[in-house]
Amino acid sequence: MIKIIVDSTTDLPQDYYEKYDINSVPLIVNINNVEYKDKKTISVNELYQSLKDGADVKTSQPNPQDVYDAIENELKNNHDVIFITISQKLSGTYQTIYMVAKDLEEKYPESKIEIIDSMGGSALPGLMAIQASRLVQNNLSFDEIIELLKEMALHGEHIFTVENLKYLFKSGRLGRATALIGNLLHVKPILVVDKGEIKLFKKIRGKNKALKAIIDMVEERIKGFKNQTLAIMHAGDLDVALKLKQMIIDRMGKIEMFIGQIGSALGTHLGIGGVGVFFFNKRPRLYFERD
Amino acid sequence: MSTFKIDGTLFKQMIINGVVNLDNNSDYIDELNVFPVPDGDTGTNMKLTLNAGTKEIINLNSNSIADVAKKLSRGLLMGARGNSGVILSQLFRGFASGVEGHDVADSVIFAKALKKGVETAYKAVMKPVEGTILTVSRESADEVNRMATPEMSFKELLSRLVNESKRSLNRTPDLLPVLKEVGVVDSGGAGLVLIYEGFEKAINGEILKVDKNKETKPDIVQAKFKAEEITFMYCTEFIVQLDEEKTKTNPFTEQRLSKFLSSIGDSLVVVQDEDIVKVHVHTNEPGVALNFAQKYGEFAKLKIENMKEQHSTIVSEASHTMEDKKEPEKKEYAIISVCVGEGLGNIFKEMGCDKIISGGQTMNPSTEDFLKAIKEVNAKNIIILPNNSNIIMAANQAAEVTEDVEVKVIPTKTIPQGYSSLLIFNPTVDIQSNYEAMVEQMHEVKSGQVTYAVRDTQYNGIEIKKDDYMGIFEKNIVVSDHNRLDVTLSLLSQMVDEETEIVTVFYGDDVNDDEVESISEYIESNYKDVELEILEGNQPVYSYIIAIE
Repeated sequence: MIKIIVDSTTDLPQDYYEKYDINSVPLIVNINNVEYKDKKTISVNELYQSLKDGADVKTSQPNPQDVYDAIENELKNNHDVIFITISQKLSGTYQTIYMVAKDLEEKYPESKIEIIDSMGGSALPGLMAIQASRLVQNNLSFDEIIELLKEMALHGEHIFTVENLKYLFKSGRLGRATALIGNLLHVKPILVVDKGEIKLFKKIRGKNKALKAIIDMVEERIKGFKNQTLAIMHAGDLDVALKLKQMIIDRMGKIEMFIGQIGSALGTHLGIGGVGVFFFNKRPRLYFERD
Repeated sequence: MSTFKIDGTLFKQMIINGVVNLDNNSDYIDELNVFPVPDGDTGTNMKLTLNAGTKEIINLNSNSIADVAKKLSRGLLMGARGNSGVILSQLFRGFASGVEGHDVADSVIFAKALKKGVETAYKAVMKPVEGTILTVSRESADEVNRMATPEMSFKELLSRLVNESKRSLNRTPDLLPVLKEVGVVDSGGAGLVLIYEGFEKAINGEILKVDKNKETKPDIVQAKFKAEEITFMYCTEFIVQLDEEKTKTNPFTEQRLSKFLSSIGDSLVVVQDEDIVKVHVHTNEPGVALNFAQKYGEFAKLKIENMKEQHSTIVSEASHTMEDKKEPEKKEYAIISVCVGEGLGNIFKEMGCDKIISGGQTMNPSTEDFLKAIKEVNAKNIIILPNNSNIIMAANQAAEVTEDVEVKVIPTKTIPQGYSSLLIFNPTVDIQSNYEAMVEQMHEVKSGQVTYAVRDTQYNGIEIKKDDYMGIFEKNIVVSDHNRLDVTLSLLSQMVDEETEIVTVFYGDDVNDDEVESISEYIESNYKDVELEILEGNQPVYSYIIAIE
């Protein structure tokens, strides 16, 4: 059996983990010098509250022991493991997991472990994990699944806006010059993830126009691949996510979508009030639309 | 004695006669402006453009018409200001290529060169509009080309040229409805007729003199370079991070901070975005300004500069650079913007402009002004925001003659268009992407202006009396009344709709705080969902410039 594991920066609706048999390893969240395990000992809402309160919030890569235990737990039962991570350009998580996996490969030479860099974050590795799970259900081989996931990683799209670029800047995910210019005067930045890095794609005057610009880009980039599941993710602003969902339906007709909340690890970088659409701009060689 | 050939010396005299004739009548041309706004300056633009050309040829030692025309063309190109000035420079550029290789021109060569000028001018204009200087130049050139023979005297040729250009000018209201409605002929075309009349007089041996009795306007070029007096010494800039505790007891409003700061200084810019407030002020008491601002929060950034020091540093740096010949490295991007009013200049600088060229409705910068700015900012990629329809062509011309540097002109016709497109400039992407995004943004903005009428007229069924205020929405006068506040609010109500998200008001030099406050209250109570920005523009002539996004 092949088991799918993700790190906790991956955002999926809570019931999906059980439904698709996906395990998640927590990153460490540090609030005013107290450590928490992301989504385990601290909820997303609690973290957002701390951000609102102006607390000093930092995140760091998962505890190696937690990674070790999560993977070994599967290997012990003769399972193979595919670990899908956040972009290694956005977090050191990939490194930690890679290191631990090397260790375990020696201990379990009969088992297969593969770490996949999703080249993205939040719902994107989540969408990949769902597809991986469907591929497993359809009895594809370990190597075939790896190949398909790597193909997907090359075509992931994240199109999003945030209320304020200061959090991205503070966390070192965006250059200072870029962050400063985006902040003043009701300018909404449209950000994308390009080759694993966050880039300021364009700036828009006005919130509604920013949402419209996101839809324009989704429509342009999704091209013919409408038969996929899109994720609309928000950081503490469900209303705007619902609005975006309706706008997509109005523009592009019926499309599979789920709405989720951007989790603590990325929420720290994006700040409260961001919203974005996550999808793939090219249909992989093999793609299962349904479970 | 009849003249059958024109050489360099005679051509020079024709040009000088043309300039003088234009100069003596430039006020009349300025008044032909369609809108009764106090900014008509077609005559002035054409005069200054021709002056720049004349300067080039006055000391030229050549009797060849080709040499004189070529030199003239270069001078006109550099000095071109305003659309009519740019078109004029193109007419003579084409003319120069038409006489190339000829030391003297007969009627046929001259007529063909005029036609060549027309073709060049039409090519230079992106969307040629009939009923303008273009039409007048084309129809008169066509007429003399039909008639010209090598045996025709210039007396006859120029008489036909002048007569046909006059007839063509009188037909402009039939081609351009707005001229008819206002009851004027095209001003640029009228300028061209005056130049041709000057030519004709030179052929007839009449040397024109500058009319001494004519009331001379202050020389615009010189006024522009008049050194500013420094009343407030310290340029003070800071960003305040609003503090929740402090603002609980001392609630923050932009209005309050602005009011206080304008009591101790000028050139004020106060911009709030959520919990960040950015301030720029010139004052003699920076400490007082800081103390007041600190009541609302803490400083995220602070900068105070002594502007007198700055001035002397610039002077001494300039002399240093004379010695130090090493060229400083080019930066990636620079933005050049045209605007008038210290406030507007400061706002554009705050938002990322590297260089402000002073100018606007009444003062169109020349191609050379742009070229100087392009050199000064020293960047690999340069974006120009002309912010006035009459300045775009001079900017384009500068962009065309610039080599080795990528220069893109965003054809912004108004301050709101320039402001809004500037705000979405993205230094992390290439210049072509920026160009496309900024042009797109420019079309997202609605522009409005409030100014006063300089004469009685009627426009779009609106009765306008001299000295009344007018609300102008894009290119149309939509309201006029003696009460400025009423005009402004009516204009606003016609501009704002359910799609509106942001209203920006730049207030001019001549308005008072109470009126600005009334406008702010009107918007806040009538349009609850819009974001309002009120900025001190200090612009002359226009009491309010309004951007709707």
